[in-house]
Amino acid sequence: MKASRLFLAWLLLTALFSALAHWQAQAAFARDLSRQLRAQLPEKMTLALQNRLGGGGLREWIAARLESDLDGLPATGRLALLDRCSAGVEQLLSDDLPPAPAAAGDIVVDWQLSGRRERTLLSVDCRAHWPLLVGSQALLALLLVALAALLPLPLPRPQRRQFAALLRRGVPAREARALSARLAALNPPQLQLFERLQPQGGQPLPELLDWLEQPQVAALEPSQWHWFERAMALNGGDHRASLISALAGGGLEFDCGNFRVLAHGIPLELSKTPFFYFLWYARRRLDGEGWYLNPPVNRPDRDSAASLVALMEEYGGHNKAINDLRENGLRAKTLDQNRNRIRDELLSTLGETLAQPYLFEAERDLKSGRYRYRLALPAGEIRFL
Amino acid sequence: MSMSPLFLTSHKAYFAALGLLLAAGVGLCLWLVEQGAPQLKLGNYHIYRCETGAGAEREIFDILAVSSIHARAIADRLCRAPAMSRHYSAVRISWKPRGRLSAEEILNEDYDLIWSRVHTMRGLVPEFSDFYDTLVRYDHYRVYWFSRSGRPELSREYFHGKRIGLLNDKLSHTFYLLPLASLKEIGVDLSREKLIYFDDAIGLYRAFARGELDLVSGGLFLEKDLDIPLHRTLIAENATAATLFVRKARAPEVDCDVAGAFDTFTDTFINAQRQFEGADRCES
Repeated sequence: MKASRLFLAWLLLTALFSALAHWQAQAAFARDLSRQLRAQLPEKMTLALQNRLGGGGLREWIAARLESDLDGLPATGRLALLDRCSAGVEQLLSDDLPPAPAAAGDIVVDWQLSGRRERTLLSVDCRAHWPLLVGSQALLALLLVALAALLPLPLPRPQRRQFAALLRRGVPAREARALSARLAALNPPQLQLFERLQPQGGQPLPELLDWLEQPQVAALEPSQWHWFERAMALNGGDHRASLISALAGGGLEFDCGNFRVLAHGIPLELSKTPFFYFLWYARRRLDGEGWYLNPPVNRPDRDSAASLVALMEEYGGHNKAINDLRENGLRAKTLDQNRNRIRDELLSTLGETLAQPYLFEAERDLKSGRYRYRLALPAGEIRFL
Repeated sequence: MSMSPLFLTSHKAYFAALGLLLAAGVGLCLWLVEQGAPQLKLGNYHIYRCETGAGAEREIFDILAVSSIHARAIADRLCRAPAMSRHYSAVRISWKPRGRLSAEEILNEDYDLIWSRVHTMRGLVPEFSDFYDTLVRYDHYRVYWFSRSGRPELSREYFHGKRIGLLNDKLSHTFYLLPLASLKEIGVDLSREKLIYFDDAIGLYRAFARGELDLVSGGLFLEKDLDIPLHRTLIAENATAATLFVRKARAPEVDCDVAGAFDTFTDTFINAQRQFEGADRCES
């Protein structure tokens, strides 16, 4: 709880207790005095008033005597909260009985005079030792506030749900409480991730939470979420690697040294030859529109074959493929075969939806009636390592 | 069985715990600040005392009066009297009920002056005159019938059906003996009339003041006491009102002041004839 709140609670409690203490001190004194007066006063009054109905200043004189007997009385108690108390006579005797008094210091003594009920009313007023009174109550209030601050705070409903779930899973209460606070602070995607990863076990919950609380995880977009899921499916549930994939920029990365292509950080399983065809199309995409019209069946493209051969030779392609290109040139059939292998790999690895931007697009050339192809991906999203 | 950790995290449990804590705090506060009054010792409000100014080493002149009427004024007057201050340091006057005077008090000579009647004193201590002299006797005291509506008539017809208040004290001249004698004299059949008995004079007069009685007997003091318009008819004018008995071992120089003080203040309501044998020794 906030310190300012505790301070405010302390002030309020001090005020409350001080008022209560002042009331109780005076009321307790009045109760004790009242008890003694009930025992003594009736006899005294009966003696003094027996032969007289009143008048002649007798009542006033008795009231003054009584008040002087009740003046400056010292109070006793565990704490010396009251200095001196005095009682004033409100009504010496009357047979009309007013309603019971409400103030802390009021005293009522009922007695009998000549077979009639009489009521004497007194009012006690005490001088309080305010510094001691307020000081003692401030200490009491402090004790109370300190104890209240030690009470475990109630959990908000979501956190309580998490806490209950953790307890059900056998997490010890203390740890569950700490974890539930962290869980309650997670956003829906993070929670969804937690629910997805938690049952797998294998790793301690605090570490999992450490990982979930990373800002990148908190900021996962729905699109990235799909990539994460895909990566998880491919790598056997390694969420750390999957996160890297999900966070990786879109686009294709060609690692020519290792014949590897990464689509959105996810490696594609391509053999060497399709890899070079993919690379070749990608490079073309960097220059202008990137379209390449399939050569006619009877006339393979020798120039393009040479550029493909140069690529293969630079990075170490299969000799068989190189020789084939040299002998036969670039044929539409070979192109179609390799594009299909690339397409199949993209679809099987990324799935229909995610693969879409990485596929080839085709256009029919109206003059020749043949198709031309290029990578659908814009040039800016293709990188080479 | 331990409490579920889940229960401890609920708002209900939290506020219940806070409530318990607050209740404990309030209880502790109430217990801690409890105060008591000192052992109380009230004075006697039927005793008035004044100082003569003579200093504390002299005796106190103790008076037992029968009523609080003028008691303090009598004491004050005595305190101012020069003769009093020569012999006494203070005057103390008590107006406790006359039934409370005991034989021991007479034998011990606790009072220097007692306002009473001979038969009362003799009833307590037959040889009381060994210790007390008679100072002043108030004879021919007048007792009246009082009514709140019209002057009472001494006739059987007038009293018929009236509510008549009496004191249940067969020794009382004013409230029992004289009024009953008056009723007998005019031929009222006591068994047929409505006689209402009271245990004390205050109860009697209060009932009268409230209109619960039509007729009561009394001295002229009643007109002062009740302070309401009254009509009266004389019952007897030779009753013995009171006698002032004075201790033999007193200082006799104060007799004149004592008699004077009582005369001044009793005159107004007793209307009795005063017999003071030592009067010739006093300055007029």
